[in-house]
Amino acid sequence: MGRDAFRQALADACPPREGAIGYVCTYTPEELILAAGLHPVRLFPPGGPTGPADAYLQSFCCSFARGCLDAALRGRWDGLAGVVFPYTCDSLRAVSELWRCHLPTRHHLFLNLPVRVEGIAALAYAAREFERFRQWLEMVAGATVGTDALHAAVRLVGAVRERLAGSSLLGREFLEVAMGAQVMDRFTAAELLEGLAPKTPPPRPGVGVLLAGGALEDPAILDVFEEAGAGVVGDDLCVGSRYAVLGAAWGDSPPGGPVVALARAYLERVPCPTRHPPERRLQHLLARIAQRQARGVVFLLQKFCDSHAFDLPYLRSELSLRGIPSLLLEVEQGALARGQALTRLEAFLEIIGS
Amino acid sequence: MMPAIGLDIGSMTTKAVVVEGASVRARVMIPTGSVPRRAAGQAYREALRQAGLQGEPPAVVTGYGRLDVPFAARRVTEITCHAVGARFLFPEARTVVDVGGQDSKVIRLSTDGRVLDFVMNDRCAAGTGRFLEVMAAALGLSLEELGPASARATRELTISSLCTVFAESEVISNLAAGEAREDIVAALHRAIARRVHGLASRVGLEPEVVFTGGVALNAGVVRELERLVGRRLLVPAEPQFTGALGAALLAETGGTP
Repeated sequence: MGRDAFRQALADACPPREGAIGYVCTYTPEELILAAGLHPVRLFPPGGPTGPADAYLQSFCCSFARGCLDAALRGRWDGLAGVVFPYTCDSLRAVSELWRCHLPTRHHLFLNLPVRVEGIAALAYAAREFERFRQWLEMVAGATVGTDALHAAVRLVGAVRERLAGSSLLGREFLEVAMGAQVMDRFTAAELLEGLAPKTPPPRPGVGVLLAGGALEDPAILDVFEEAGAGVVGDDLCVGSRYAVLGAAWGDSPPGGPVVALARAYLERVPCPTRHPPERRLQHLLARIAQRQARGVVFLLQKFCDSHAFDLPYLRSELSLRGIPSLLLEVEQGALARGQALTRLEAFLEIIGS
Repeated sequence: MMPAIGLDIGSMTTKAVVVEGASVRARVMIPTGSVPRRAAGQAYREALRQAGLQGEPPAVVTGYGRLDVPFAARRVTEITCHAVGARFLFPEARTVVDVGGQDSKVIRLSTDGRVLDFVMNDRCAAGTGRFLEVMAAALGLSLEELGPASARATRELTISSLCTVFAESEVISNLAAGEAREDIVAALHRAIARRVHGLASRVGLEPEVVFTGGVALNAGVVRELERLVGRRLLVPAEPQFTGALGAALLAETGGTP
């Protein structure tokens, strides 16, 4: 039990349950899905070569987005009651439209969330979109999303996030648990996470590096780090710890109501590169490096991911100014080119370990 | 100081260097073939024989085949080994450009010779020795003939594609159009130099710049790269041995890179 359950959840194509709502991006307010009595399921494509999706997407579309569409076209997520796409990037927007046109999923929603997350206008806009999402969920569920249910959902997801954030698991094990928790039933995830936390942190393996980046398909990608002698002591990945850092907690009567409070929490979280401004992400990254005592940062970039690639020069130069070395590795089809990645990683470790 | 041996198991050739103190006692280069560990063993034994050494001194191994050498005492990446080797040959080196059989890399060094940063080519063979090998075959020339041929160029052609497969098509089209082989070779050298220079620009080209790897034997590529860099490059007498030399030096000192 324990970690195996998370691994199993990740390996399962789609939980066999009624009312599963699929989503790709962590800007999806899964608290609202739970409050509607439905089940949020984050969609992780299996990695590997794609087939059917290649007929629809350009070659410069990242393999994560391509993998999502491909898995959907192959029937991996046929059991979903609905799917929601918050605006993330142009590639996932294209996947959203293609999904709507070519797949039998009964309910489909595109959430047009703001790119610039600061200011009252952004909050008002996001709150309107969250409200639209709430109404859509009520239509899908055939039930009302009540305030009490929303409070309960916020507490539940908050417990999952908090237990993940406080976990002393590292590397591939942490990523498997974090990704599994985003797929499985959240009550089960919260319970299992409670029982999973080792009382003493595991020994730090190898030369400690922090991973940063966006979406990944498969936690097995971290094996090459171990092979190279690196210890992944923490991450700032959208599929990993960034999911866990959301301060969505408030009292019984938040100003503007719970949906506005939820929108505020999502806008105030650590922004990913699809959002502005990037300075907050840098501060978060620096804090993670210090907290985890990492010797360097490895950026895992989905090949052709413009959003992450755009922020990389800024982040890397800021790290360099602070004497923090960083390495860039490109991910494609859920994997690294093993030989080249190993050479780059070993060379990076030789630099930071000397 | 005891003699020490370094091995560089590259994609096309395996090199072994035996050093003792500040001098090279033996150097061996053989084709890697399909079984890198076999080539490593063969080069190891042959280098020891040439150096007249008994016993089995510990070897530091580098190159893409380093992962599969059972007798290796230590494995170190090509990045570090080329840096150490280049720095030994040229103490003033601050940048190392290495173009080998299947990859090219640029390494930036601190004033005291530590690796500060590096960049490697992407997965494809553009801008590598393999690129030149394919082009030489398309032109009916040997690798050794490419450099001298480009010196005889009279017309400036452009090979626009950096993809090995597409560039080969361009070479064939140029040949069919009656262009001189010398002009095509010079255009290929410009293409490879552009590619390597673009890579180098990512980490910065601090002088002095050392050019290592088998492609540094090609005077045409050296000339085109010097033109783009805007200064003379320092090229070792036997640039393809720089990585193995660095590995041997690391074996000799037993120290960290």
